[in-house]
Amino acid sequence: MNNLEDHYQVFKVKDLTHELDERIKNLYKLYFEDVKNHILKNSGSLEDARDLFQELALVYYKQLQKSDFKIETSEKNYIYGICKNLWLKKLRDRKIVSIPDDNFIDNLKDFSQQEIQQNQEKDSLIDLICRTMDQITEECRQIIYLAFYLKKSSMEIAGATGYSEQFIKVKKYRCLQGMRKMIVDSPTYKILNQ
Amino acid sequence: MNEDLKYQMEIIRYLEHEMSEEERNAFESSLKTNKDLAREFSEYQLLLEGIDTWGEQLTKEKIKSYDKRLEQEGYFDKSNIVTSFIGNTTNLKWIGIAASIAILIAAYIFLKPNANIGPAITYNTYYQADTKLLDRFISFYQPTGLVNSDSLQKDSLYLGLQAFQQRNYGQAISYLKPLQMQTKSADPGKFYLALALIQVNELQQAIDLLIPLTNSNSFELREESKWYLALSNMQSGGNIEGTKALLRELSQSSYSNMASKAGSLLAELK
Repeated sequence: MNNLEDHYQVFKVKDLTHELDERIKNLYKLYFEDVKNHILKNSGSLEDARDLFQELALVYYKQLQKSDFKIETSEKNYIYGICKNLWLKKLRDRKIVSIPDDNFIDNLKDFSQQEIQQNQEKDSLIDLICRTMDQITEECRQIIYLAFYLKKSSMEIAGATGYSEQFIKVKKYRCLQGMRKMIVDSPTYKILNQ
Repeated sequence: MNEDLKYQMEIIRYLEHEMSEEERNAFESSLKTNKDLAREFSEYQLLLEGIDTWGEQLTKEKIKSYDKRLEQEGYFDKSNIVTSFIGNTTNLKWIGIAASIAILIAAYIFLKPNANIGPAITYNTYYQADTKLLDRFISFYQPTGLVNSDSLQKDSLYLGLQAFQQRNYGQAISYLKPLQMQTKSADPGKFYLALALIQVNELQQAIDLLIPLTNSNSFELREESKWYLALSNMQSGGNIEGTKALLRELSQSSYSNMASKAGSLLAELK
């Protein structure tokens, strides 16, 4: 390894995020055509198919991140299942098909004014956290992204960044602690907690 | 390690399912009796939820940009024909290479200098060497664990970036120029070399360096490379339509600052 690569291990971090890029590419390569055909046959356009596929890829990726996630059938069937559900929901929203969703209406009725307010406050806090993520140091952002979003182990992050595993273990908590302090000290947080 | 940190580590270990059964039970009992712990616990629970939402936004952007890339490659226009072809990964690799070459050739033709136009006043209003990004890089390389501080002073990338930050552009060029031959890991060096060349008015050399960077999917300063390419092309009297095309693309950027400055420069050029 030359001097440059030896020092700037930061670029190896990209190897850890590469997996996500590859998953997205493979999904398009394997399933976009069939998803598109399904949408075109069911009152949709190419634009609808592209929008829906983006949603589908996100839903699928979120499922894959869950530690207890298991596909009961094949990946192909699973993807088509998501596709059909998402598209049906879109059609229902556009009132092209009429599907009563009693549960949805019941759930809506159950929301009290207090719960709605609590949800709004929670949304504001989540928004504050997202904005804080953009304000912390690049180093902390990388470590938090790898550790808590991509769920990479401290050992994997250590291998990619050149830090020791112990350093990563402590660093990720320190970054999170610093972030929490920034949030708690922010005026938005104080207003929300009045 | 301080006590606060230990306390917090316990919460995160619980939330990330890293505790043994016994530890989980003990932690859950503490949660019932210790109000401070319970409050801190719910704060961290929300923090991790927020990080998930933030990460999801990044994933969404990645998916969206991949969809956009496919669109630019004409995939959606001819997807039926292309699908049978890209089923083979070797073919996919060749499509990628061919597309990259085509983009590079098109960029060279499009941005070929044209001595008739040179809106120098507009350029001076908009050009600013981006030291905020530079700080980000240098702080990443500082001896906080990533880099061995003893050998830091021997490294030409670090020294080049430092010289650039000190506005010593001639020295920055001499440190960074050898990195032109390096692999992708030297992209930040190439980027700041291009900016240093802009500073000493070597615009064509800067353009030659920036074009491949605008085409490098893995380079995190790709959008910025487009911005400086547009500015150097404008300043060197290159085809103004080339500059406008780049600015139009940037005005759609997901980075709001970039989109806004590209949009306003584009409006001035119209």
